[in-house]
Amino acid sequence: MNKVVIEDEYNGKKKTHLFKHLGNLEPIGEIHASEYSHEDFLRNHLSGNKPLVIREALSIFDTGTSYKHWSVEYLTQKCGHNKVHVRRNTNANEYKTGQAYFAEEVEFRSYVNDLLANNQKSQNSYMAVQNLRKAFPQIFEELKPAPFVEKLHGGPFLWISRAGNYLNKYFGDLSLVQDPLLKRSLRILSHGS
Amino acid sequence: MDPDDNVLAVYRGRKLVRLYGCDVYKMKPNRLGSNGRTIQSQINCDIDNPDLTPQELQDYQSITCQYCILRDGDLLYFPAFWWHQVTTPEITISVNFFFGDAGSNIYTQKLLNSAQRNTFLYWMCNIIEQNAPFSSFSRMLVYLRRSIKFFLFKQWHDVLSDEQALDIYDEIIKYFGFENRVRALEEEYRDKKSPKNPPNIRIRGLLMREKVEDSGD
Repeated sequence: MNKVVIEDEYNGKKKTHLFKHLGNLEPIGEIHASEYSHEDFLRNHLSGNKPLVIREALSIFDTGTSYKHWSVEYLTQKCGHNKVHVRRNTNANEYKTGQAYFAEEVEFRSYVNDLLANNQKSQNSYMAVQNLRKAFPQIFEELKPAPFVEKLHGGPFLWISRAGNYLNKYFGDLSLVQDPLLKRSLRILSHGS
Repeated sequence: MDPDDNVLAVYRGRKLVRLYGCDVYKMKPNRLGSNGRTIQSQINCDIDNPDLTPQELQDYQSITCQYCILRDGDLLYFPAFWWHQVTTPEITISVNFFFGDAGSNIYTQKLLNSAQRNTFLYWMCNIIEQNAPFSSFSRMLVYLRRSIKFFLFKQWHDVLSDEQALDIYDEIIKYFGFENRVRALEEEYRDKKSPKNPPNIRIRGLLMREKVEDSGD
């Protein structure tokens, strides 16, 4: 098992974060935003199938006033009454294995209040992907995309997550699912061919 | 993994990101898809001894995990079809954009010519499979080249060339071993007038599958 520990400090609190993997473990390449070259990015990353971390990009690129203004308090003040979709029971096995999906529409400020209170409800909830243009029109204009975002496919999406949240929407945490539906679709396929 | 290039920006808080490359087969993809356009892995990367067969374990160990901590103000670009896991150790505000290359079909061409090719084709085949249980599927196979073009136009606003559509089509037919079935169907449809709009390839994620029997489609 390969392990890497990163020490971090946020809001005056020190924390260590552990990365571990059974195979090779290496940091994603990174640059400071002041070193950014558009040509280099297009050639080596966008066309080169290679990720890149750009440090302090939001203060150095022209990203509108969003980075300066946005905090949980600011968003709540501007958009507190907006309706958002919140996934519930995200700790349930059915959710984690992708077999069930519980969502509820609530006011944004109610989601935030639960989050700040770090109550039982918040630990089992996650604000589902919110398209900023639709769900938060009051602040949409404050945001500009990074210079290399030329053809938008989706979003921008806003995520506000609690401490310790695990984004299983994206990845992992799925146990093996025995699913008769899959067998059925395979059966139909083999009949047809 | 998602079918788009991705940029993630952290406004407040922290994000811990782990990337596991773009080889779809080495991470045990959930063949059922998910409730959307994404592909999910069945490996729990958080535990030391994931429940895997020796071959699966060997595949998993052969992958390099790339990691980072994103602090407020930082931005991460990662390409389409990369396995990713994101955790948040603090209350975190972040924004992501899904995007592709400018131009009418540069993005599709990039995927077809890159290390992401096989994963892109896996994603396409998986979506085709999601449409297979429906009675309209035979008709879709007959007009599949046009359906592929229509589908990727809706996904990415890419206008595929005939060569690009044929490339994807050939791979799909080969993957499912549909050669004979398509030949027979083309014979059957020979005298029928080609439709104005090709059959619609629909993404029917995991949850939608359960509706197979209810829907006549």
